[in-house]
Amino acid sequence: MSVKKVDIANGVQGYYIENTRFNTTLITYNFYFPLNSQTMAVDALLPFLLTSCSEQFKDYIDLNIALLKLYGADLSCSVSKCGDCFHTKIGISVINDNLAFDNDKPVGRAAELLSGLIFAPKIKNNEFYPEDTAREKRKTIERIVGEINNKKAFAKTRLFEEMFGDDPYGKFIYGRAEEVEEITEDQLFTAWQTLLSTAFVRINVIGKENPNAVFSTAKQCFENINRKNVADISAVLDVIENDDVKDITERMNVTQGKLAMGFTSRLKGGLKTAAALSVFSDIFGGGPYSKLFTNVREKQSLCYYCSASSRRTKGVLTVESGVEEENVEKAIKAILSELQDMKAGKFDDSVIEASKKAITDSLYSYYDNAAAIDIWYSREIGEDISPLKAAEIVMQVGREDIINAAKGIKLHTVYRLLPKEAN
Amino acid sequence: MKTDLIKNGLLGDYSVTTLDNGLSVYIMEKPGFDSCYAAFGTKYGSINTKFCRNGGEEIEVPAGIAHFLEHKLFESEEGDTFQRFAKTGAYCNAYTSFDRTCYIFSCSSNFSANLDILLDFVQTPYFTAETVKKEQGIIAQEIKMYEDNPGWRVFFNLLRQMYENHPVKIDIAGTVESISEIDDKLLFECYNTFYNPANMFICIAGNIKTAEVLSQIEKNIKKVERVTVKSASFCESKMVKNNFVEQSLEVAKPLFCLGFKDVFSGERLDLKSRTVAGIALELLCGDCSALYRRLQDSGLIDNELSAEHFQGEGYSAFIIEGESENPKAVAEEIKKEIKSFIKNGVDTELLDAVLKAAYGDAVKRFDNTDSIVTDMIDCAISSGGLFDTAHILKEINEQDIIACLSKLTDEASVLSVITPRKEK
Repeated sequence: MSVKKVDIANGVQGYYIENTRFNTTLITYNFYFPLNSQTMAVDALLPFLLTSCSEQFKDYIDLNIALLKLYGADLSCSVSKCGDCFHTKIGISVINDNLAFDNDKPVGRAAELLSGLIFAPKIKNNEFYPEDTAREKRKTIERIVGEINNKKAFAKTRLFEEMFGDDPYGKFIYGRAEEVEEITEDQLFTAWQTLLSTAFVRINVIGKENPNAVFSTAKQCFENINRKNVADISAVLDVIENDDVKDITERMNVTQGKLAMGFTSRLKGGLKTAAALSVFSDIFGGGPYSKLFTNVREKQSLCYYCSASSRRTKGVLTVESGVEEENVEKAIKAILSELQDMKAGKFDDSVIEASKKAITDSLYSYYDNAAAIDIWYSREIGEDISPLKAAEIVMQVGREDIINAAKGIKLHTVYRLLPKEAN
Repeated sequence: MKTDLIKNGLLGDYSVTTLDNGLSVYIMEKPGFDSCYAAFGTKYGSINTKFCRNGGEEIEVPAGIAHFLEHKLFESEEGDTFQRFAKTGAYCNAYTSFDRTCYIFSCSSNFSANLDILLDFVQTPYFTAETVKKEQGIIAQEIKMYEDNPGWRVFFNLLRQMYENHPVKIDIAGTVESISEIDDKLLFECYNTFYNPANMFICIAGNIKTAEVLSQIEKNIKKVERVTVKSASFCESKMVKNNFVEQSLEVAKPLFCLGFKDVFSGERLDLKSRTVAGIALELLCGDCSALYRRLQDSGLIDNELSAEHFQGEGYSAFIIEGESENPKAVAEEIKKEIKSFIKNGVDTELLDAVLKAAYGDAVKRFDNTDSIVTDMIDCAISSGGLFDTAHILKEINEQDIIACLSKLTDEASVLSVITPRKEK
């Protein structure tokens, strides 16, 4: 698998990740710009609106039929936070030209359809259409309600809100339902213009087809856009600090309690430190050999699930657990005691090996999944390292590196979501 | 041992081998790939509750044994199987459905060591009266968890109204009562019947060499006497018990499942009938259909409907699921649309587009080793080959669609609804 880079316009890069094993080609446009609490709800709604219709495909049915005719091409759209950047991804996956009927060229057609959605939306007098906006607002509000109904995800969302306070990283990406209700057609138009003119852009093409057609389509589209003020996305991340541990308990109509604990971790130190953090996080609360799984869940039976995950792009570690109310405090104590043991180096060499094997095994398998390759090459925007290289670095991680990573972990916030008290 | 090689210039080749003991082995080499995916499974699922072994008398066992066995096989005298796979870095899992139980692993290194673990733990049952007792508690918790799951309930409530005799109507894990009747003796009896190589299959896709893998399997498959097993067939009429069923649970918006029961002769529907069913449902209520637009525009639904042709040994049903404030109105619209299709025919341009998309979907499945293995398992259970769907799509025409939709009659329909709980 080789990676070729092309400059398409100011702050617009093309990445061709050649991979001959797939029958499909995946094309994604990735936009990055600084997180902003004020515009986050609008920024999150915009890509869903863009991928629902366009100047050419006036409504979602026309668009869906066009996708069917492209051999069932899959259109995808997502929003996420990547460090202190907002990340919008719009992509299409389509079968390769050699598998199409009658000399058809679906890859070029898919690239044109995709750029049409992004650069030529359905607008009138510098505004999106009210009926399209209303439909997408309704769908976004459903996503927000869905999040509230999923108590595990909800507890983590609340943890981040409490942990980050005014930092936009803590805000739920779709915003609040009331904010979504108030979004206007012209706000969306402004957000669309800002996206095209100021966001840093990475276009990934993954597959074996020649990417020139995709990149030249993109080049033409960006030619008409003034890209003088491209967002600086290399800015140093804001790391949150705290002296006292924040302690929050909320009650809702839930049967099983949820516990979410947020920790800060040291960010600086490059790739090896990052690899050590991922091995630490896996031994602490990742695989079936992890301390949280084997001790807190299996041996002490304190909870239904208990796992840790780290977000390197923001230097945060979280522990999530499903737990009965009477066991919550015991579980917190047990989790912190396992962390202390990690800091003191109380873990077996066999677990280090198991963890490194699991992490590298999953890194190697990235190459067999176009969507995973795309995520890899759109998440690590600052550092261009391959999954293979990352696996090599993981293999070099030793006991002392893991202990050092553990020592940099500090509890920041404890959030409990517990059942309403019986009347 | 007998091996057939099935070739396809564009999508790759695969082999089907039947070992002397009856075990079927499907292998697709994916030389450019880094990872491998393997499944060891048995044609034994929740519906196989009544059966004859080696032509003997028919016996009936409590519901939920297939799923119970799946749980228990992960334990061995030396400990937990997950820990054995942790040493090699592989991912492992298992699942039980209506007609199969499969144990799987995926890895990008140590394939041969992982295959050894898979072959060993599936062929080495270990349970005692005590461990079975402990598992009863764990599975009872799992069953209770599903009792509160609206998506699960709306589906099984539908099946219960649809089927009089067929065990497909019972939850895959069984009931708290049925699993309380399970003991180690029953588990061994079912294991020795259904986990016989002649009733099993191994499916593998990835960067492996067929000859090496076959020789490893032959060496490690236990030499046991061949068992023939015949599951009972259940007589079902076209009639359903009730056309409507409702339950209240914690949901924000009502959830519905509209099903149409289909009866047929023989054990299973053939691949063409199954493929036509999928295409017909897409045309009827997919995200390009006139019905979908109408339901959205009138505000009856906000999100897509999901439609499935649910089928297996002795059962077939067309099932459409969704969310709506007014499920009864949606059901009426769907039934009206079926009649309109039968009367006015199919939009042939849309049919061509849907067939083209189905071809694209079939091609895409060869990009992932897990979807290749899933399709191989289907082939092992229902017969047919990996490339057959792409060929069958070329034969499907308007008449096939109309003939299929004509089976969706009002009398054979059940509407199952989950309504939000009212605040006290």
